[in-house]
Amino acid sequence: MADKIIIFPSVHFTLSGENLLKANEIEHLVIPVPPYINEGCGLGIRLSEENASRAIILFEQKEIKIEKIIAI
Amino acid sequence: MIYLDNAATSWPKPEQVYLAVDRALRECGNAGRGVNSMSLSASRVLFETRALLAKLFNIKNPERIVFTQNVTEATNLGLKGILKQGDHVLISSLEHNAVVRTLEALKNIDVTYSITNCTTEGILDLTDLENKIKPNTKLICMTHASNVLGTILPIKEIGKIAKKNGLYFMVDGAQTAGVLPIDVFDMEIDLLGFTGHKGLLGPQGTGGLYIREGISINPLIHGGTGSHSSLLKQPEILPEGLESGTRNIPALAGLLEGVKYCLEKNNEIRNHELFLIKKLIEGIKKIPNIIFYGTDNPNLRVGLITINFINKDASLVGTILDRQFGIITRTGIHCSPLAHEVIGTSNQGALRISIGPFTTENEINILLNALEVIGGEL
Repeated sequence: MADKIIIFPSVHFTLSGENLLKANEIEHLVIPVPPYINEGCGLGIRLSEENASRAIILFEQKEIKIEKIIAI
Repeated sequence: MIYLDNAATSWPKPEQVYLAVDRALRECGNAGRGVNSMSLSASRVLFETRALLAKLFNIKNPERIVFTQNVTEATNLGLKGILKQGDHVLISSLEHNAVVRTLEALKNIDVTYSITNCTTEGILDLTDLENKIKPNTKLICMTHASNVLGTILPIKEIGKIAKKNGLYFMVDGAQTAGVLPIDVFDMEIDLLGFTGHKGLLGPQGTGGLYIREGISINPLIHGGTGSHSSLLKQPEILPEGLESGTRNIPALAGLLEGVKYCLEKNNEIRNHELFLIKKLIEGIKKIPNIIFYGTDNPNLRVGLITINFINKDASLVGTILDRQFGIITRTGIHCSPLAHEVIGTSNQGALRISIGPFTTENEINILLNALEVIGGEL
């Protein structure tokens, strides 16, 4: 299964997301996004596909805005 | 030395504020610039400071707080960001020049303003406020407490008037943030300007503006935000869209500790202030030849008292206090000519005594003795 990178509209939301994932003990990695991706704040959170599905639900519940999700 | 100029800037700061500034200078990079560990450390300082300020002001979405250099910049951002050609604004007769001069400058795009009357004690006339609302009024902009009279304005009641009339409500929290409770939801505040280096006990060069969700503000400054970097247009997303350029990370790290201190102490800071203000009012009233401005109800005051001696220039009294007694106060017009007009001190100015959380009862006793000596010599 491919990993996912979740991209947020700002660093603020990226760090909100990171905190939420830490609190829920979901394995993740804050990484720089490739420069061809125009959206976002330059940061992204890389997760396994399974963890990404869990994370997306949590982000929606906590109103953490997602700008884009890419598969790698 | 006794420092009684906390309304200008609080001093000293809690010890952890000094330590945090030092640590950030040594350990933080530039926030939002890349994904190295030092940049992330800086971003986390901004994130945590925003989160704690949101907690303090009951703000649901911390990203709606943007950091500025001070409350003056926050006021400029709010007023210039929201007002358009032909708009009308209502202010009080106690406003600081941060508000008044900005509105004067906006006259060049036909923005007008009216001044709501206050009594010589600084009590705002709410009926006058409502009567001055015009069809083109867009905003009510009021200080939470006067930096000259110390009077606290009825923010909750003003918020209700703004809401009832479909107006935006902006509050200048320069003299109250960190000391008095501010709840943007309960007080129906749309825009809240605050400074970090007074009641919030952080370093100078910090402040911010809260902007309610749903309100769009034009930036004062355009440029790099660390986000959407390939785009030529300024991103609209908050907070970065209104925070172009490097933030003052070490100072904001200090502010984070200042806000923590305020949250931990909760009502203690205000209770201490009330205790000392009561003592000051009682003491000052016994001194001969002294004029005391504002209300004598301590519950309607923040921790500052402005006085004059009959026929004596305020700046001379301030110099005597400093040179002969080692007591630091502030003299002059205090950047608020409107308030001085209200109390009739536009020529003389006034001497302002302002206390902080670390001011002691003994220091107030020493001040009162010094004032008694000066008053007795007249």
